[in-house]
Amino acid sequence: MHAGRHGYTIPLISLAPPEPYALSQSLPLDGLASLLSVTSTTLQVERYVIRNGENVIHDVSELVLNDGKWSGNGMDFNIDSIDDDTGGWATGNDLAYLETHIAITGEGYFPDLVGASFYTVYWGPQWKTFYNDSRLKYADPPTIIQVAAHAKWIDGYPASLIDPSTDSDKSVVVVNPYFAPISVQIFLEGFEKPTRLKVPPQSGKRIALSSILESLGHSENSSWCGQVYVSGKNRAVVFYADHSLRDPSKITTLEHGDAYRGELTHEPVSLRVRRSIGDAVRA
Amino acid sequence: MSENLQENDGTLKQMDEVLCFSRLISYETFRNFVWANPRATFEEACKGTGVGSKCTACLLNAQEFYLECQKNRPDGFKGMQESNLPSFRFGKADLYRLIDKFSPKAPFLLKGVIPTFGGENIKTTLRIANSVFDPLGPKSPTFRLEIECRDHDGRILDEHDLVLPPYERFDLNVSDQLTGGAEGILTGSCRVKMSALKPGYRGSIRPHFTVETPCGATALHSQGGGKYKPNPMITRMTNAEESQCISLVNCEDVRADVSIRIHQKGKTIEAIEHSAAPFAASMVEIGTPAVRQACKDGAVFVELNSTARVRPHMVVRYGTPPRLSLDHM
Repeated sequence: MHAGRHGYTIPLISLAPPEPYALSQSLPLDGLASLLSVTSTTLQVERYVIRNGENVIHDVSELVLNDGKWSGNGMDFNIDSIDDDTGGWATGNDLAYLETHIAITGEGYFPDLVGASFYTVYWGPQWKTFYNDSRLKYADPPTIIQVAAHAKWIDGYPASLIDPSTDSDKSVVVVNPYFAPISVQIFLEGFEKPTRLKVPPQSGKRIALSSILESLGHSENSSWCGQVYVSGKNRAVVFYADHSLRDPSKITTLEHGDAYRGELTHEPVSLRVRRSIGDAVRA
Repeated sequence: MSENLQENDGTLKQMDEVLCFSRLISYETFRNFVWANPRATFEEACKGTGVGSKCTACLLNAQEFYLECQKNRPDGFKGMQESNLPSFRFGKADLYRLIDKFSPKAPFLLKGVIPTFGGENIKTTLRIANSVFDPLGPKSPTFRLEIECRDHDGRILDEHDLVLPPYERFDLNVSDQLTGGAEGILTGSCRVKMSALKPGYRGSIRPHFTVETPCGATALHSQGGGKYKPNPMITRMTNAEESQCISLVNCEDVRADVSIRIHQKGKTIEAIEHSAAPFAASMVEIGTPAVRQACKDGAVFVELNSTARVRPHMVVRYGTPPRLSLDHM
């Protein structure tokens, strides 16, 4: 879908480390090399940690590929949390996020706009390690297919579990990396009324499902399991965090959502036959 | 970038009037094309104007705008003259599209594999939801589900064959029957095959699973196929109370010999060899003293190579009873 000759790959969005975690990101260099049209070139890696419209950290570094061998300081990136009393994970407002850009400054090109996928790891000496599978800032293929099919952007998570007996809660984390404010609606299975969440430009917000359930009249002592949908006029980058109900800073996992898919369940038999013939000829 | 951009026909546009920055095509040009060609599909409108053909970043905006233009087209719009319109040539792709339009349809067979975990204080539940987004209404059809649960040795424990209409969900405890495992956890796997009973959209049908302990829950989606060489995974271990393992499900009916290499800045810290029986589910501890020492200096990469297709997950356990998480590699 994104084939061509490109000097960059689509920027990736991850969550900045919530307090008290630190973040480590290492680019998968072998994977990156396999995406390039050449075996020697230079890349510029730019990382922005953005909070409330401000570039709090702007790191620019270089990677040099020389006959298949990498050098340079652009591979690794490590930061501590920038949450403070004014905002962050604890309050759910003004969440910071990390935006990673990779561009070619030398020879060659990327045949595909979608670059190497990689995780970011969140860790700490007294905390459980968890990971974040980064999201494309734009041109996300499932989103494009979804909007083509349904004329709506709908993200979601079908297996959302809130259970006081196992101290389980889940938060919807909405990152708006764009220049205009966005408003999303959060729908919970079994409840008619959605919850609205406005996210300022270049910022993020977190809202716990337990607090949404409480506002909808669900008993705080009973569990709930079901589908969550997040929808709005504009796409946002959405993550879902499983964490302690009593202490949201104890994060178990941070996962991307599952779009309400626009892919079809069936395909024409004639297309399937052509594809089989093509596969057989290529084999 | 300057505030005024020159469109391809020489007229100047403000930045906020530009739809496609790579080709410098304005919203007005795209709108005029859609209005002048009311039967043009979105793809044809993009092809006719050049929108989205370079970096594709504008495609989502273009898609929304296309739908708006279709809705707001004024009656009797004349727009561009016929002679100015790009001509459509009927080629091979158009012929195939015509044949496909009238061809009977066959369902895709969607497959997913999940690892399952059990034992004291650990419960895995397979969750499949044919959910409906109410503002949209039901867009997904009824699906047929075929579910097969296996133990750590790959033996079949349980099978289910059912249909799941829109609005319904299916939750299945897949840990109660598990008997064997490693690293203190019972392991197994589930395979799910799904096919729609009539044409529609996939919606939210992808299988997910939750793993619960007394200290929390984690959820993850299934993945199909399995790989011989999964993507390398970054990790870091600085907490003495935490253990990290790789859960491996052998997706094939042959033995899988798996090589696990943990490295940092190109230097191998640990190399682990593991063998998995056909369809078996196992766990391999990677938090060796050497790996923990290396993590003090920075993150490490975990890489797998396998002789058969495997589905690996990174499993992190913290504390007792554990908070447990899984992430696909």
